[in-house]
Amino acid sequence: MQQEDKKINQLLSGLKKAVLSKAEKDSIRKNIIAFMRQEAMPREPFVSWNVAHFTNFFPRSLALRYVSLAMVLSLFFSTGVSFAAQKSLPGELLYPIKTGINEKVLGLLLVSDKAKAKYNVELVQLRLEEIEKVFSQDALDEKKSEKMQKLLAKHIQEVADRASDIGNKKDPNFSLEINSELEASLNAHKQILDTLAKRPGKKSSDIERIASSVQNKAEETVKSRQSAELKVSGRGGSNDDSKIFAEKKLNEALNKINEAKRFLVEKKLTIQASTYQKAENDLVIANENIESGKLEVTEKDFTNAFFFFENAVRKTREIKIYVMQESQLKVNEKIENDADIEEKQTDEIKSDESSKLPTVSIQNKVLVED
Amino acid sequence: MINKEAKEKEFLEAYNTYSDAIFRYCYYRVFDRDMAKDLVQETYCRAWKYISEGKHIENMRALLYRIANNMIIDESRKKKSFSLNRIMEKGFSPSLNPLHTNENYFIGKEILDIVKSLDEKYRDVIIMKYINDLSTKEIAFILNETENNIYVRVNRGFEKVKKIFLENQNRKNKNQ
Repeated sequence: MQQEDKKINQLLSGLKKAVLSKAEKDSIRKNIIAFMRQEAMPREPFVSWNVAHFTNFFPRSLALRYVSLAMVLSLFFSTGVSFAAQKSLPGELLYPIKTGINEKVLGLLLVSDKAKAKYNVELVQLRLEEIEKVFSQDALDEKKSEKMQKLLAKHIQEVADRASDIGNKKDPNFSLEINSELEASLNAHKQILDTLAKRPGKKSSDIERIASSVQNKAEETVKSRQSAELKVSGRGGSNDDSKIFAEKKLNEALNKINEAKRFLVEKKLTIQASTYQKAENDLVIANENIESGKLEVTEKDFTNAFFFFENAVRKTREIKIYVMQESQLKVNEKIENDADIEEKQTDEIKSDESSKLPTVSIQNKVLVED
Repeated sequence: MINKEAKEKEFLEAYNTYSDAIFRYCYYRVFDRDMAKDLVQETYCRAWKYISEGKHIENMRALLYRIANNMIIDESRKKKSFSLNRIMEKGFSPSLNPLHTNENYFIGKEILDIVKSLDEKYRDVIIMKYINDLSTKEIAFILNETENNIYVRVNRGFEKVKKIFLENQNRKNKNQ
């Protein structure tokens, strides 16, 4: 029995060989030191955009995760101006500082191609949010629209170029992921733009043009994504590796679906009924992709399974983006749900009869807010 | 200032000394290399925050493990890991290469499968005791349990590993 104990001990000791490589150790050490330096500095508040976006565009295991915008801004002579510029929108005085300086500096901090690619995707997302916000404030004109479209197209091209470069050289899986993220963002914002264009009393030709342009870009991105899928399936490698990728992607998809469900419940009262219904339908589509992927697993086609799981992840990403953005824009403030329309019609008939307070039905409505 | 520099130096020494062990600890709990690296980084950052708040640390190694343990628990609560096993109704073994996930190379597949199959409470202490070389006292501190409980759990865990291992060996011998 002692011999068996010894053998098991030896086998367990063999697992001690799992270590960090020198490069990994150095990279983590650099990040820790950056964090230690940041901790030593006086605290500056993050601008709200950065809290949401910062952790998104710095991929998990890459450098400079803990560099705050405050640290970056402290490099500038006019720290106050740069800081204020972060909140600016197209057409405002400080907007050129935001896009021409702040964002460029943040981009320079990112070392790897992957980090830059993720950053470019976040910039696309940000530009679209700005367009939607400006339109909501009735501040979108033809000139602004053209400038914003140009900047948006530039960021999208940067994503496409980096994704293609990474896909050709090193990592077709990452190229697929980036294309998928971009596609989700463009699809989600197309949805928002279409909703905004339908708002009553709004001049919609500019926003319709932008929506159409976003639609075209989304279609191009679909082609890039499909091309990346071909590269992934043609990559070769062992079945075990494909299995690992598929399992990781499945877990990611399941977690994202659960997150999206919780998120939808949370935001239900702040979005239109039609958007809620669309999100529910999209969740069904995501789940269907999971089931299709599982079928592929039983056939041991792990590559195809991976693609189905990636589709599910992309769908949940779309849901989160358009639900979040609609909620933030409060698009539903002036939109009534079906039940209220019927009530309004009844009230209007009554008010016509009484010839008093024709807007009584609207006054009775509860405006849902965040 | 000198005191701060000395603290920093000591802390970075602790990184050099324990980072591999913390990585192993995280890796054999989450079985995801990238996640394990992130956890290592986060562990040290949180430990530094603790130190920079002026708190006294008796045992740096134990503190690091405790922080890592708490984070792993948080992670596992957020995410339920779905194994392709359930779909395929067969065993599934991830790549165990400690150096590069893309290489088809693994170490101790059989013993790792056995450890993974244990109940969480036994699995964790076996990993901590036999792979991370932690003492019963340290394990008790990290898991906030009594030394006696840990001692009993380690022994029971080891007996379970042995039992499964011997059953597997017998099965192999019969098949040959």
